[in-house]
Amino acid sequence: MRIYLDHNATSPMLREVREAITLYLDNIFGNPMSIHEEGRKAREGIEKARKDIADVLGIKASDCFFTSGATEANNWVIYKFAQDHPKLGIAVSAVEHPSIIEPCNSLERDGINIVRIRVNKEARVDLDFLEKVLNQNKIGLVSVQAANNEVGTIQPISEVSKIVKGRGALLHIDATQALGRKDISDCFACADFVTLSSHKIGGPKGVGLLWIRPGVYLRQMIMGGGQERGKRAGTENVAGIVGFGVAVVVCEQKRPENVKRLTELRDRLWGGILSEIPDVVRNTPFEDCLCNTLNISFSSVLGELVVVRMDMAGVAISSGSACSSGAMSPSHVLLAMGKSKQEALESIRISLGWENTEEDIEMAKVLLVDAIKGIRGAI
Amino acid sequence: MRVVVGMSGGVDSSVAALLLLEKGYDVVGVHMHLFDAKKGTRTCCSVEDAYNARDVAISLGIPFYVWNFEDIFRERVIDPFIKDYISGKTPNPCIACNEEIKFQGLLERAEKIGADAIATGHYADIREIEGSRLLKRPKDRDKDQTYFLYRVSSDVLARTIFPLATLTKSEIRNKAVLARLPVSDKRESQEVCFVDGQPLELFFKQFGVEDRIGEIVDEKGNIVGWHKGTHVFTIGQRRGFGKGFGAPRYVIDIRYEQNQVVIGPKDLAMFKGARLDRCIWKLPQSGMTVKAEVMVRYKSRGHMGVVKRIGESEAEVMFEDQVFAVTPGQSAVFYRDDLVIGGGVIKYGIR
Repeated sequence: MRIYLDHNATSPMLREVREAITLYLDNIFGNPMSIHEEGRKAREGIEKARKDIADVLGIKASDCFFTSGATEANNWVIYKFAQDHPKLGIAVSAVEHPSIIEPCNSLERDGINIVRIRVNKEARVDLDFLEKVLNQNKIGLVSVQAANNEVGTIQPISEVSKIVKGRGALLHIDATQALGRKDISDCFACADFVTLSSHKIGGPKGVGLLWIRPGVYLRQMIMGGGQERGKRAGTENVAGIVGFGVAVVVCEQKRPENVKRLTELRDRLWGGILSEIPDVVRNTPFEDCLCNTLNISFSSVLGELVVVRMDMAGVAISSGSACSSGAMSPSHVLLAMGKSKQEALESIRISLGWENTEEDIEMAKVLLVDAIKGIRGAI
Repeated sequence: MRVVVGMSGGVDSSVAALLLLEKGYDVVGVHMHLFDAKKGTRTCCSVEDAYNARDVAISLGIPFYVWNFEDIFRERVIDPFIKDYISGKTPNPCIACNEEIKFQGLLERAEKIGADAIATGHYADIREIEGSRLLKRPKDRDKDQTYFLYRVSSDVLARTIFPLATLTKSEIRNKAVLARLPVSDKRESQEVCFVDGQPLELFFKQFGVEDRIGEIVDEKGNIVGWHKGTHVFTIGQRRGFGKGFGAPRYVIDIRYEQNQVVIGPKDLAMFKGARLDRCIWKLPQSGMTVKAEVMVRYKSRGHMGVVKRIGESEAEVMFEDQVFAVTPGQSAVFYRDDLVIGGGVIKYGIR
């Protein structure tokens, strides 16, 4: 029986989600754009999902647009904003997900002014730096995540929002990692665009959502058959969207108890590791961090090898960022926090989720300590 | 026993992994990420190779990981390669890679994940002689890669398995087909892995080596042409310096300081000996001179000769016959009865 501690990568599907989807895999198969009954039934499914999500998050269904995932939603905001405002700059935090960073890099090569907002050693956005950036550049869009996927830092988005609104720029918040792990109503209060993802909260993979504040205009990126009210073409992933809807509802309902439980489990794991390997370094901040994330490093131990040993022992964790060949390269988040390349390569990330138990944590601690001692002993 | 197999994605390492599985080893597949291939080039170790290796691992049902050796590869293989080329030598980076990275580097990490040994798809064999592990030519002499492996230490060889030692290439290919391994008839990498697929000049340009216009002179000292950099020439080369000399002409010397390439008739590219440094001795030698079969290049025939040790790490080899294109930077590897008993890097050829 394996122990899965990599929920920031993805989560196992919730039972409720699987049950809800099954209907849509067999019986309700129509194209939601079709006018016949098969189509209408499928249409009903996705609109219910949209409404459920909107209701539980306190937003309007008509402002929610389904995409193929958070990556697409992020690409949409960045590329389409830049296309419509080529003379305005875009500022993004240095610790954004690659689906924000890569489009920005590409736009920069094409001449768009991209500024990266420095973070402090807890990976938190440097607010003074942000102000300076907005004073010195004509920035039209700022993108800051709600919480970081690698170390779990929660960003000060209300402060960010005040500064951004004060300069008349738009704010995009990638809330992928925060959904289900903290209250994200502040994101919708502050921002003009919010990205959400399905598979991190126990929904199916390949579905996400972009929320656009009413009154804010963003041209469609994917063109074709006019789906999603003309904002995002392509036959809808009906089963996926239905699953997404259920996942959001379930995880928001269970959020308070989950946050409490996962915080306890995470803190217990941290305490357990610290007591047996006192020189462990904690990269996840102690305050204002996601309840489920623990990013740590052990000096002179390659994170890559810890992940392998844990994998062989039946525990799934992760480390750094993977490049396209699958090899590990130092996490840009840790580097932005001021860690050296070596320190970044020595880090591992443990991220808990809905199905983890106390036994899981106990076992993981034992195996991790064993792995570290084994690797250090093998020198 | 747990063995980490270096899987490149090619047929050889794939079958090596399969053979170990059949023998009952606890096999773990690792693809070594050595450098970032530029998009569009068909180099070895591209992203596709990692995927190929992963596909094979999946079909064998073994765990598979990709390990990042970029930094150390750049430092110990690519940088010295460029440095040597610029100074007029013709280095063999595969030898440095095997010495530092593919074996030592892999073994170090393998031991940290509980492995007792590593394995690769090299065509080579190992024998224990007088307490030392020596390389031996494998069954398929045509594919023999021991030339590239001579610098791998005895210690490391003691924890290395070469599953392909007793098979021929066609036997190996058949095994892959019968086992339905998802390795296509991939074109085998012929050149240096990080250069393969592009002209050498282009490679050097990408690494910041600039053109240096210099003279091409003949053996008498007459200027017969111009070149843009000595780094694309090697001893014995027949092309790259124009035509119309009548008889075939070969590069017979590269004078780095004067930035000159010297060409001449074939007999001036023949050598009767070589001076070596950075020598490795696999057997405690009883005397200071040793008779051995010497290979001065991969895929060349061995030449009988006498190797005389000079000091700790230098040597002089005198061949029984004249040898074509003894090239500074290449290695001279000594064999006796198909065993690798030592080798060194060629400093210069002796005419």
